[in-house]
This record gives sequence, C-alpha cells and structure tokens, in this order.
Amino acid sequence: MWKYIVKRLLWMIPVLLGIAVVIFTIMYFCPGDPAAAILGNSATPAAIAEKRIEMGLNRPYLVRLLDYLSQVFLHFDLGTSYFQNQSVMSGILYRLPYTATIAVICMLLQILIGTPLGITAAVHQNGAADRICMVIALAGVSIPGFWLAMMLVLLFAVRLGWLPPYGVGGIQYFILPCIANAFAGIASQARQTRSSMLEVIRSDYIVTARAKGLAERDILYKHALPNALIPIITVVGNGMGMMLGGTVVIESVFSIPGIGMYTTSAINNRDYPVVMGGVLFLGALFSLIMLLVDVIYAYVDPRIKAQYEGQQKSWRRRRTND
Amino acid sequence: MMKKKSKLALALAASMAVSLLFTGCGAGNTAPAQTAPEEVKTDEPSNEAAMGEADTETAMSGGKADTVTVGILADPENMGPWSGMSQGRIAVLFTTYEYMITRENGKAYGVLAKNWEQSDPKTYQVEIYDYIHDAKGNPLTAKDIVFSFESAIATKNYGKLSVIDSVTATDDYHVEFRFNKALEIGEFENVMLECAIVTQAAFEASPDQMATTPVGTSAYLVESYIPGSEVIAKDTGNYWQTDESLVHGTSIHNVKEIKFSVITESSQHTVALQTGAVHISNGVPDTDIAKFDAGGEFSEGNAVGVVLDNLTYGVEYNMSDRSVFLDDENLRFALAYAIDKEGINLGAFNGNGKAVKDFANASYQDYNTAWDSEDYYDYDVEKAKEYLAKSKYNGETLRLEYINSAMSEVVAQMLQAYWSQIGVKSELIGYDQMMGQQEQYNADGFDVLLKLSGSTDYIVNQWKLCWDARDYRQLTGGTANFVVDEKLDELMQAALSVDTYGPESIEAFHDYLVEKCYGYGVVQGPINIVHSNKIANVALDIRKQILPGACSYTQ
Repeated sequence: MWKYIVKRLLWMIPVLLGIAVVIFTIMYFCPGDPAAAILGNSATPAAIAEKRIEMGLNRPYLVRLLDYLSQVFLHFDLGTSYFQNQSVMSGILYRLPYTATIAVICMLLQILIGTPLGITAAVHQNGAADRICMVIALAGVSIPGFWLAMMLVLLFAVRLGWLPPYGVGGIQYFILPCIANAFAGIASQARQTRSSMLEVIRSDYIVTARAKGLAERDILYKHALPNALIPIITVVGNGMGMMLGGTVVIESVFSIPGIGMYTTSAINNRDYPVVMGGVLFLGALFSLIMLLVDVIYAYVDPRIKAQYEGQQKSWRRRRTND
Repeated sequence: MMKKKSKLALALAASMAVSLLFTGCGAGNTAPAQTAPEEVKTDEPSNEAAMGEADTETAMSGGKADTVTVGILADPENMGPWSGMSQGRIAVLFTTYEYMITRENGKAYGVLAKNWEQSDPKTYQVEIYDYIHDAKGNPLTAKDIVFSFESAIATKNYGKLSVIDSVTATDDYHVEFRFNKALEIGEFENVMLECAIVTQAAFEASPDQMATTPVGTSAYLVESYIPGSEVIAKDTGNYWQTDESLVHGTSIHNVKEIKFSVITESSQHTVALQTGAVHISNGVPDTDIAKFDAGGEFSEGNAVGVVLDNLTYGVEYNMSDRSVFLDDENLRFALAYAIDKEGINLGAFNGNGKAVKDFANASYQDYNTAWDSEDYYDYDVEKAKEYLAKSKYNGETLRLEYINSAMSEVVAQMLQAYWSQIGVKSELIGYDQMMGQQEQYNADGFDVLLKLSGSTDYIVNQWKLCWDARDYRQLTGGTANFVVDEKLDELMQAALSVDTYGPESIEAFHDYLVEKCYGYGVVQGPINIVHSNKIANVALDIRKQILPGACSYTQ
C-alpha cells in the first residue's frame, strides 16, 4: 500500500509541472500589464516600459518559463507578490486557514446532511420523504450560491440580526458562508447517495438479508451503506477539491480573506506570481485529496486494496522475470 | 394516499412560507429604489454643503469621536510607503503617511515642508520643520527626506519622480532637489505629493518594510492589520505638529480610532451601513443610494453626500493613419454634436454629475469660466446630421472602447444610442482595467475611446494625460490617441511651461482642440458617499477618497 502511495506521490510531479506550464502560459498571453497596474492610470508608456524591464517582464517567454519552473521545482519558491512584496507561499499559508475552515465545515455539512437525506430518499423511494429530499436536492443544485448568500444575509444579519453579515472573527462569521457554500454540495451528496443506495438495496444479498429476517437498520447500515460508499466517497473527494478552489464567490460576498479572494484580487491586478502560486498550490492540494480518496477506497473496499497490492506484486514479478 | 397528499401539502406550505419570508426580505430593499432619482437630487444641496475636500476650519469645528469604521472595497495589500498603487492602498494612504505638502481646493500647503523656493530652473530648496517626529517618536530630519525620496525612486513605482536628478540634505532641516529638466506647471508640487515620508530608523526597524506595520509622521499609527479584512489605526496622541493653525486637511485627527473594513462586495456595503457595522462608505451601489437618502427606508440615522468627481468622461478619436477619423473632420464633428451631454448626466448619474465644456471639467482653479457660455459641441441633431452628410462615413460600424465599470457602460450605451440617432452604427468593446490600459494604445483595436481621466491640480495636467505627445510619441507616434499635429504639440507645451503658462496659453489650447475636435469632454460624474449621522462633515482628499480623520463628528 505504501508503495502505491509513493508511486502516486511521484506521479504528482509531472501533474504539477503540467499545471505550472499551463498557468504560466495563460498568464503570459493574458492581456494586461502588471507594470501598468503598479504605476497607476496616469503613468506614461516610458515609465511603464522602464518598470517592465525592472520586473523582468520584457524577457522572452521561454526564458521566463524556465526561470519560473526552476524557481518553483528546484528552489521550492512560489515567488514574490508584485503588489504585496511578500512571498506568495506565506500569503497563501496566511489565508489557508480561512479557506480550509470553510471547506472542512462545508464538507462535514455535506456528509452529515447530504448522506442521511440520500439514504432516507432511497429507503422511501417514490414516497413523500423521497420527494421532499429530492426537492431540497434540486433546490440545492439549482440555486446560485451568491443569491443564497445574499438571501441568508438579508434574513439572518439584516432582519433578525443574529449573525454578522461579513468579515472574519469567531465561528459565528463562518455560519452563513458555510451554509451558502455547502447547500449545493449537500444536494449533490444526497442525489449521489440516493442513487448508490438504490442500486445496492436492489441487490440479491440485500434480499437475502431481508429473507433471513435481519433488522432493516442492520441491513441498511451494515450491508447496504458500506457497499454504496465508493461513489459517495468520490463525490466527497471531488467536493472537497471544489470547495477549496471554489470558495471565490463566497469569500468575495462575505469578505473573507481566503485563498479565493487572494487569487481573484491578483487576477484583477495581474499579480502573476500570486495567480500562478495559488493555482499550483490548489492543484497540489487537490492531487493530495484525490490520493487520500483512493486510499480511503482501499480501506472501505478490500477488493480495491487487493487490487493495489496485486499491481505491486505483478510489477515485482515482472522485475524478477526480467 | 390521503396521508401522502397531506404530507406533500404540508411540505409545500412550508416551502411557500420560507419563500414568502425571503420574498419579503427582497421586497423591502428594492421598492424604494424606484424613487431614487428625485430623492437623491432633492437632498443634494445640503449634502454638498457638508462635503468637500478636507477643509481645516470646518473639519476642526466638530467634536472628537471615539471610533469610526470606514467601508473600503479593496484590501490595501501592502501599506509600505513606496509600494505600487492599488484601490485599497489609496483609501488608507493619507491616514498613515504624510507628504512634504498637501493640496486643498487646488492650493498647495506645506505639511512637513515649512517653505520652499526655486533657486534656478532645475533646483528647489526646501526647508522642513525642525520638530517633526514619526508616530513612534523617531525624529525626522533632512536625511530622512533624502532616504524616502531615494527609496521611492529606486522602486520605479512612481513615474513622476523620474524628473529628479538628486536629493541632497544641505543641513539637518534643508533639502536640495535637483531635477533633470526645467519643471513644468504643477510638476514640483506633484513630486512633493508623490513620495510618502518616513524616518529611516522606523523603516529599518520594520520587519516587512512597513507592508503591515506602517509608521508615518501622521497622527495615526496602525495598530492591527488583518490582510483582506481590516486595518485599525489609532491616534497616538503625540502628533508632532502642535500648532493647530498649521494642521491641514490630510493631517487632521478628529477621531481616536479609525477602522477600515474591507468589504469586497458592494451590496454588502449597503448591509454594513444598514446594520451600523460601518459608519461611512463610498462603495454603496448606485441602485441602493436612494434607500439612505431622505425618505428612503434606511434614511434614519444615515445621510447621502453627493460630490462631483475630479475625473471626466471624455471621448478620444483614434487618429492613427488607419482610422476613419484621420482625414474626416466632419465625422468627428457629427459624432460630437450628436451627444446630449445633459441627457447623459440625467440618464447615467440622475443629474448629479455635470455636462462639461472642455476636455476637462470645471473643478480646476485654472478653468476659464467663460467657456461655460460657449458652444461646446452643444447637442444639435440637425447639425450632426449635416456634418455626417458631408463626411466620408459609409455605414461602417465604429468600435467604441471603454473600461468596464457600471457607470462607464451606461455612458457608452448612451453614446451608442445618440450616435445611432444620426445613423452611425457602433459596437461597444468593454475591457477590464488592465486590458483597457493596454488596448488604448492599440491603433487597430478601436475607433473611439471613452476614457475617464483627471488630475488633482491644474487643467493643463489633465490635458497632458492625452495630448502631450512627448509622453506617448514612442508608442503611438503622437498623442495618446495617435494625433500627429505640430501645432497641438506647441500649444500643449506652451500651456505646460512655467514661462508661458497662463490664461492666454490655456485659452489657445482649448480653442485649438475645440476647432480640431480630436477629442472632447462629455460629463463629470458624481461620487456618492453614504454615512451615518454621527459624521457631521465628510472630508475628502484630492483623489476624492474619504479622510476619516478629517471628518467632523457630532458629539
């Protein structure tokens, strides 16, 4: 198993290299000039040209790309923000707790609400509970996050005055952003759980379990759910990645200084090192989450674990034969 | 079956109740907006009186408040004295740092500089006060002025400082500035206003070059900064300038604590003012302004201030050799006469802006008020059609480029509508700020440019932003909009030169530009500032940013 993990970690290197090349190329060809942004509207073209030289922006594409790749992959340095004059890594690490808090809370909400909703819907297929759950799920996938966020602010911050409308501070500042951000995730989770559970509870072994007179609760939670978990875990993993990278809107609406807001503001200012560093960091994080999901698969389903180990053995056998 | 139906009915009823609750919230906020135009306008005179560039006497007349929270749209990101400009940084700059001089209502006053004089065309001698110290108590001498200017120049972030040849401390409180050319009108003041001054001791003691821990000579010291969220500055109670008669707008400190709250979403500015989380903001969306004005649903405890911006929306024709406008004066005039500037003011700004009578607006001290009664392409559809008939226009679609913002888009749409009225087709090309800055010099990218520009001192310096070919020749071959016209260059330089600057050279340039119609001003927009009644008088700096320390507060 460990060898599988190491192999996957090594595979992350070309993935990250690919991300770095793609994002660098996009930013290189993206119109707009960071030198002009720094100097402001009244800057003359001569002053902008001089600043471009100072910032090294006048160098050819390949030279800059190779410099960037060696800086990131040989020196583990994501560069320095043009505007903040601060290392991009420290900027990201400063903001990560805000984004991670939102992502983790949203993930918990997604699992704790979405999964039971899906199970309830599957168990009561075509019944009132199923319809209610699916209406909630449909609303979740249909309602735009920013609209829901503003409605929640109007209700809980303006009308009722229970929660702060924006900013950071105690946990109360995260309640509205997390509800707004998690709603779509809860809906996807409920829909995926329902569909997986429906597939499983129609299986022969569930019919057999029922015929043996096992309690319905035991059938559901000990036999059906574990077998329906693989697609559910996939949705959770994807959701976590989406939430880490996709909190941009929610962070902007609630003025939360997370990675999303950091990167968006950098895009507007053409602060290339921050944009590239942010994307690369989220890419690495997403790859790690996907690896974690694969590892969890192995623990949830012994067949997958055996498959991973089988791959190792056949690889070793081939090496011996060679 | 019945049981299932009743469950469904119950669920529907519950969802309807929730919907009603949400609908109620929405309706409460949107209905009054329909009455916006009249209400904003009705309240305008009183607000005009209560707002303006920081004015020492009025601002000092109120009481000293404990705390004020200012809503700002962007994070300052880097509060270091010489870092690159950004929207969030501009908002906190004058609270944190002081400059050699300040400018109030077009006139320059010394802040750190006690007096200054020109010793020869390229040299200025500046004397600073001998009792200046920064917010941490470090004394400030001429050496610190030299350090500040040299550090600022080294960053290459300030194009205006490129005219400096050397800065030398001649003794503890005298500094000599040598320039690499004879300075033009307003240029020395702009140099003095460009560089934030700090003590070398404080700068070197800062772990991050003052990016998060700025220490200037102002009355305020930043106590805490949460990047992306808030900046809290407190009055040290130890401001160096003890002679109140010498304390000018940017240095006034009428409040003990200033909190800048970063609120990136403009609709959240409305919520923040509504809930009292913020006391003053210029980030409220235009559609929400009326809610805070007299009769609006959030008017209790709040007020709206309207002040004219120093920026002007102007039209610049692409005059490159591939442009339809190059040899077609009639087309230029046709488009100019087709625009109802008052109509744009009413349509885009509810009448709170002002139609302009020059490429620049009337807020400059050297603006000639006689222009107000002149014909400045005054709206005349028939005349426009006559010019169009004489022009070489043959139905092609003209590309109108502008930088995306809610207001620019409305102005661009109205220009498009006015031009279609005379039969000229146009398409709108909106760019974000960064792309727009680059694309304005692309001769093949547009036919007409709608640009928002302005200066903080003299009218000639706004003209310079487009018409001084010396700044753009390398890139465009002529002025910013590709005009190659020797006479225009001569007139521009005459208006900018200290020796020839005056009513005559200003008039000559204005008249020539009107005659040639390479570009023209359209409208000066307003700035809406919503504030709580705790603030009796709103003070703004030269860039029309809120100066919370200089506002006056009710007891």
